[in-house]
Amino acid sequence: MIYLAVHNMKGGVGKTATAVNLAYLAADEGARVLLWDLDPQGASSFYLRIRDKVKGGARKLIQGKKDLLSLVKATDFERFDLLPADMSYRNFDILLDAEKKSTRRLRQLMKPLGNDYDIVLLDCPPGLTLLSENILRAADAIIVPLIPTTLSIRSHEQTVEFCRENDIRTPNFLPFFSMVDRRKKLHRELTQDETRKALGILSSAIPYSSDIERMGIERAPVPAFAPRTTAAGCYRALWREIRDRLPARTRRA
Amino acid sequence: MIHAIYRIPDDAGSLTWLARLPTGLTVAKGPASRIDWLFLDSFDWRLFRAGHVLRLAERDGGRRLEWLPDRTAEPALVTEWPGKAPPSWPAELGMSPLAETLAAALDIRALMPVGRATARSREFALLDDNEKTVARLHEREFAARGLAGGRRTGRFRTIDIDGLRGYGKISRRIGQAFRQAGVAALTPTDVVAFAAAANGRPAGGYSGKVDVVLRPGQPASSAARAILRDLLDTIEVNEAGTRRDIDSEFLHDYRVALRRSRSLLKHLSGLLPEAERTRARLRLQRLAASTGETRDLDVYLLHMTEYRKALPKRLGPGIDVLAAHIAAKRGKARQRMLRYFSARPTRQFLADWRRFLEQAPEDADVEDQPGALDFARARIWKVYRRIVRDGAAIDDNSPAEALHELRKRCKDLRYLMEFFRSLFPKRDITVLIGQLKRFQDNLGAFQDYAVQAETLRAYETELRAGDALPRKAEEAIEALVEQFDGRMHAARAEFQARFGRFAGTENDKRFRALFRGDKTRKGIPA
Ligand SMILES: Nc1ncnc2c1ncn2[C@@H]1O[C@H](COP(=O)(O)OP(=O)(O)OP(=O)(O)O)[C@@H](O)[C@H]1O
Ligand SMILES: [Mg+2]
Repeated sequence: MIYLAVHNMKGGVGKTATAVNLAYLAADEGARVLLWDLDPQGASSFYLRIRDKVKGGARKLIQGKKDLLSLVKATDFERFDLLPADMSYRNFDILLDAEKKSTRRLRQLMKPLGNDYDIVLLDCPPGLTLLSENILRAADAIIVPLIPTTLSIRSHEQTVEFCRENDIRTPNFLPFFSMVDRRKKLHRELTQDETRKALGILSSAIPYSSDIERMGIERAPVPAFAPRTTAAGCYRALWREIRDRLPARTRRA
Repeated sequence: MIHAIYRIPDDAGSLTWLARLPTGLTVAKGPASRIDWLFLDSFDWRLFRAGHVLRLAERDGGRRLEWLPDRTAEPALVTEWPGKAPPSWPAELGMSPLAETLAAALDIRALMPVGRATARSREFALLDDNEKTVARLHEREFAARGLAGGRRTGRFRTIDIDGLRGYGKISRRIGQAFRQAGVAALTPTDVVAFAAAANGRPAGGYSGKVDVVLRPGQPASSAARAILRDLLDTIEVNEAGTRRDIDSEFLHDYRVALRRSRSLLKHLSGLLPEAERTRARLRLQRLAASTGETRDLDVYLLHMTEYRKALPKRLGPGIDVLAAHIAAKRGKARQRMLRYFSARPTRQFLADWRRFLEQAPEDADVEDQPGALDFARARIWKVYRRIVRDGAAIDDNSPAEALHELRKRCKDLRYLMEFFRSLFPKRDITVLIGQLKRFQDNLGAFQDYAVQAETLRAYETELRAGDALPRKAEEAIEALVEQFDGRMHAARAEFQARFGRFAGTENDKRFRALFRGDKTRKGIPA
């Protein structure tokens, strides 16, 4: 099993859109996928029409008193399951802090999922918190949506810096450009090949697209409700590029 | 996750199950598809009896093997199977969990197609008020066809609930609603039974055992005819499988049925017309003789893996020589056997024998017949007493023949008890057969190892005469013979204790109570 996270300390950069669409594509390819909606706002859950609460809340969960699998909900798509969000996830940091090995608790909690899933994908809330640290430590690769702005790129560098300071074994960061708007000069400049390569950013980018905005109305992944659109094609290309960067053991034949 | 199958009553219209759904859900019609299932099992239904289903599912041109263990409605293991012909042996699936599971369930029996069902299937999604799918239903209309496809021979409809993870409660509610409406819950084995019945071989209908229900007062010859008819059925169905060489158990069951028939005929002197009885004994004996060589070679081939394990690796090539020799001999032996099966006198006898067994007993049999129960008790008691006497006379110096004789008598006793078991209280007869079986295992082990050692020596001589005995093969055979001698002696050493247990007071009391010919008839239905 492989753990992936979609993370960026900045809000509104397309984390959730990325997580839902990539999870769908991985499952469509044959992997058994679990998406964990870690954001108390529950945007992933909303997109997948699942509004269940987490019984016992974050407390029982973090304390290991609740079997994660018992909370899982099937989405409408084959092999694609969701661990729903809950308002109590707001208290993650406090609860984690009370645990032993508080920075590694998440990975430990997720271990039993290995029999049922090939990929566990974490949709993270924004911020750089104890939960973030847990995620950065737990994930085999961190997918980072970046809006092509100088500030956004700087915030990613801050995350990398954070890892170094906290002795987090440099995670496998996979940053890519998100919400790219070709009409904006800065977007065009930053997404140029040399600049992009210099920053270690993936070549696949996700454009700013009304088809992606429509996810909120359709409440489904883009490749499911609009498979032939450019947006769907871009997510497919992005997933292929990410998949090829993952350690071999996790790739499926 | 809940997966359940319900049968839609034949007189119900299409989609009547809709009315039984819990309120608050809406139904969205999904895609339609076609299913083609070819069910596989051993000839004696080992999978079906254990509640397992193995099916070769064809869908959109793709073929997969699906394994549904323990009556579950959801495949637990699935393997792509691109080949057109279904597998016969688990080993054809390579090293896989499915291959292992099947090998354990089937033991030495091969897989064969036992039924085919095709279905038109329509998916329905059940949606909550968020239009989130909370369960899927599949309405299926099955048609059973002959194994080769062809005309439809039966039909029935099911509605399957495919629960989704995290939505168990809703699936349970739907199942409840169906059950309350009197809709029968099915398991995948029911679908197999349906397909098998349509194919003309009822599921679970064959076992090597004798299964005749007799009446205590029935004339003995009429009971004997019923048993012999059952045995003749077994002979005939197993001849077909023996000809096709599906697995070695066909010939084994065939031979056992011959032996049982002969064993019973011996006891029927004065009950059946003598001319028929003598002819049948002779013909059945010849038939059995025609199969002996092939069976011996089958046994060796079955043991080959065990032989390999018993010997050091370096003797592997020696075992290969032996295996090739045996396989070649077997091919020729089979040819001879099949020629004998097809010979005019054999066909004629089998046809006559069936006619004789099916005619009304009154016409031909001796008058003044004892009742089946009296007959059975007298015979069983007599054979049992003889075994006790002969067994007690055996000591460490007795020749091997003495044990061999005793073994034959035990078989005779076992057969009699099995033929007539329906006449005795089930618990008592089952216990006694179990005791006898354990004693037979000991005698059988002694005999088996003695014969194996002896035959291996014969093969060695054959190979040497043909100048085809490499050093390694000789070594392998010597090593095996030595092991067999050892085991034979171990079995012999155990004999006294085993016999003591079989013929001990406890058991003897039971035999007396059940079979002895005086008034102690407690518990026996009149
Ligand atoms: N490529 C895109 N083109 C157009 N709109 C987008 C795109 N990606 C995301 N959006 C929209 O932008 C908003 C924020 O996106 P999303 O929720 O995916 O970001 P996020 O990083 O998960 O946000 P948060 O930090 O609040 O969790 C949503 O309304 C979404 O529909
Ligand atoms: Mg989000």
